[in-house]
Amino acid sequence: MKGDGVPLLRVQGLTKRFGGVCALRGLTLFLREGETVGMIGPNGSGKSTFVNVLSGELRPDAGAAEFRGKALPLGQPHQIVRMGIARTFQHIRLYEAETVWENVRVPALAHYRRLGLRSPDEVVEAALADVGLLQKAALRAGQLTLYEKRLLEIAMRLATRPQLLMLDEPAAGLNAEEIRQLLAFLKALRRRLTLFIIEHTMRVVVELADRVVVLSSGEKIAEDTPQAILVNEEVIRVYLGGVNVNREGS
Amino acid sequence: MVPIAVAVISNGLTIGLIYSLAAAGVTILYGSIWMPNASNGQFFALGGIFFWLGIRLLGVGRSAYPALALGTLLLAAGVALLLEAALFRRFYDRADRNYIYFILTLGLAQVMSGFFSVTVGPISDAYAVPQVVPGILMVAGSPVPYARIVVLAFACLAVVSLVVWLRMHRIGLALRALFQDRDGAALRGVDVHKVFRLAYLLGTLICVMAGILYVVAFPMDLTTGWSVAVTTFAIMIVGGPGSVLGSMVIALIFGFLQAVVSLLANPVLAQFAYLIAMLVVLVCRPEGLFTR
Amino acid sequence: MSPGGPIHTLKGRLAQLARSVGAIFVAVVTVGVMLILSWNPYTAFVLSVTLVFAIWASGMNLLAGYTGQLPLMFGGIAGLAAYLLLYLTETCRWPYWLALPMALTGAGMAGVLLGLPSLRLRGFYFTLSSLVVQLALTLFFVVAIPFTGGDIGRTVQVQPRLFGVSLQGRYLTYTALAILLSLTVFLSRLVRSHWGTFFRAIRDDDVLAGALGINVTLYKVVAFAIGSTVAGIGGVLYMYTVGFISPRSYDVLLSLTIWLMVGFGGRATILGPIVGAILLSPLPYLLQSVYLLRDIIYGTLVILTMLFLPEGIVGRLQRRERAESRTIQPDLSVATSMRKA
Repeated sequence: MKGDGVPLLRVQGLTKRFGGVCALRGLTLFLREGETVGMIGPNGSGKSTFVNVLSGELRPDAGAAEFRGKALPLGQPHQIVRMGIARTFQHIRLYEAETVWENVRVPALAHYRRLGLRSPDEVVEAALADVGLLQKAALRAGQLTLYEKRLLEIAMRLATRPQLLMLDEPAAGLNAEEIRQLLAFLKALRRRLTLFIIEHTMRVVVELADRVVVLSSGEKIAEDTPQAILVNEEVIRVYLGGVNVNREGS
Repeated sequence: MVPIAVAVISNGLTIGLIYSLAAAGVTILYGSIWMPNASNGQFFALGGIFFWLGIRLLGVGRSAYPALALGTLLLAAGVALLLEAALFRRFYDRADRNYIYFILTLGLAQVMSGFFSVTVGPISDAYAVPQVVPGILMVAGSPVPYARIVVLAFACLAVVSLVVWLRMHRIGLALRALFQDRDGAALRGVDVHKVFRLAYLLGTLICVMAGILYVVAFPMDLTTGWSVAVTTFAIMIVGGPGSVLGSMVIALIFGFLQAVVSLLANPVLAQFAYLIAMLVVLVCRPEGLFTR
Repeated sequence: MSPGGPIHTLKGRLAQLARSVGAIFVAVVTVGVMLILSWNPYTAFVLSVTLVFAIWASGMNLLAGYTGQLPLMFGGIAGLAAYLLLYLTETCRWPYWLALPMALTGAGMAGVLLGLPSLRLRGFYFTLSSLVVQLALTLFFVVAIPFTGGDIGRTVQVQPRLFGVSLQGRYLTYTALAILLSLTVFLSRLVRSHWGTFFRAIRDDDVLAGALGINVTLYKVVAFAIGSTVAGIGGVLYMYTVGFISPRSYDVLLSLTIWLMVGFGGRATILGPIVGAILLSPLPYLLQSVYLLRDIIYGTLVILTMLFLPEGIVGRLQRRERAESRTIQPDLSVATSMRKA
């Protein structure tokens, strides 16, 4: 299942400038189906910009991207979602005043026909069951804990039946126990989807990723297995020097 | 040819400098408090109308004009402080306050405009101030009223003092710090709310001052408030809400544009140009031309 | 809309039935009162104006309440439809069945075209660009004298005729009433459909909506088109009610007044704007001396609304109702009702 050679996403020479700052410099990346790829790097290195460009939020100044051989409709978020790429945001974005059920119903309504289903409710129920929030379906989203909110966000993406799911710092703000639960959940999830995870919590990256890409100032400075990245001199110098690498324990 | 040029220059410069002041007022309010002030035109009108009222009703003589101006400013300051306490203070910490302030000040503009129609409208519908200094100076074959020169001089002085003050004085610097980064400024011990109140007072009084200068040079009517509001907003948007100096430059350009258009065609067309410029900038480069 | 899923308890069903019957009863009584009032020409006039504002407010509610945009160019679009219809019927001498759809389509398209560039703008910047468009439209009405007759205004010469009946006086009132009723039914259907869900999703967070696969631009454009057409319908009705048209009738103050009714009565509710229109529009006509103070009164109301009633009267009542009902709603009803055969 891992890296069986089918290229899913090809990104070539992606460049994005904001005024005087170059957030992405000619980034080139390949994702194969079934992989779990992690992306790490210091703040401001371009990680979120990368996801924003891939998801259509931003238009790149140069470069191209292909999904399953088809050109990605850059700058059109809803079309990219329809192709099978979904992403979450670094800061929680939910319809806080609506119920958990309603939150997932929104994307379900938008996609159930395309998926050949007769009712959006099937999609909602399946997605909520997947993340384990079915019992809380009638609660307002604003009443959930941080961890549950993250799960809800993922459930909403699952309702679009993506092939590639990009998670932007899913473990941010979670305590050790919640991270453990998140890891268990994601380990199950990665058997069904290709995952791309941006993270600062090294434990998540190390336990989940087959491959890690390291970004610094908009450029890729390393790409290797998590074990190799941890001992990479330049990576340590640029990023890991200050990060607490906690692989064991709570 | 030359007389026309002189007329254009004298008109353009005068209007441009007055617009500079009004635009600076609006930009300061938006840049520091994040308040798009749709009522700035009505405060402009307030300055002109109160000044005119002082002359018309109280019979204030030429020599007392400066005192009258001061009195007008003090009155306007009182109104501004009242409004700040009643309407604006409560929203200082809200994230969406720019939208709220915009609607609030639109309502306020409506109230003020209605107030003027009802109170001053019946007395007269044009407000012109008798010449500050009688007589005309002939410049290269074109007549320039001394009154106009006086206004030009004062406007110049006001603009320069404002720029200098913003860059030198402690409070001016605090305002600029707020412009750049509100949270950082708060961390460095700047009492944010107090500076907001000051910014509102300053921004409003600058508009009032501009109105006083305007009515001394040109006749004003009840629509002036609205057209000035449109123009100053256009200037702020095109110049960029982050730069007082930038808005002043654009204001001068607009002033000259208006002088030229008024000479050649219907002055209303100048308004069209401002609106189109504003729309184009909003769509293509919302941060304005001068914001870094 | 509903907090969990379909309501299956008997008590819930009865409550729903009672609410529908109550609503129908109120509607019948209201219509009856209106029919009686329209017999007197003066009250018919005030009633017509109120109905027009109710139509306008409902249209703006779609844009402001459901898609989260404040279109200050609403008045200008209404004026565009009115001027266009007047031009087509009086200057070009087109028959009504042709001129009317033309004018309304024109208004709808103009609304979309003029609103399109600002679709990417958020919050205040969108409002500002909308204001700019409104000001440009008013200016255009003043300046394009061969088309509009300029700032002086024009009286309406040709009255609309439907099935041989000249739509004047109380017949105009009946027409306005019929239009309002159909519009209300249409809007409440729309809001309950998936369109309404997407509109609200876009209103609350359009970036999130896009990331979930919703074509935000498309829905905004559709909302704009519908809203602009409704603006046009109101504009045309208003012109015939008053019998006179001028650029000042369709200026920014009109947009603000309509917004005021929406904000006052309740955004994002179907009845709210209608309540707002009923409460606010007869004001200047019922008290002649008050007419002079119109600007001051409406301006003050705008300020008060912004300060105290962010959700409007109907909105606040609904919020209290929803808060109460949530404590009754059991958690399990969702899971059990989701049992599929």
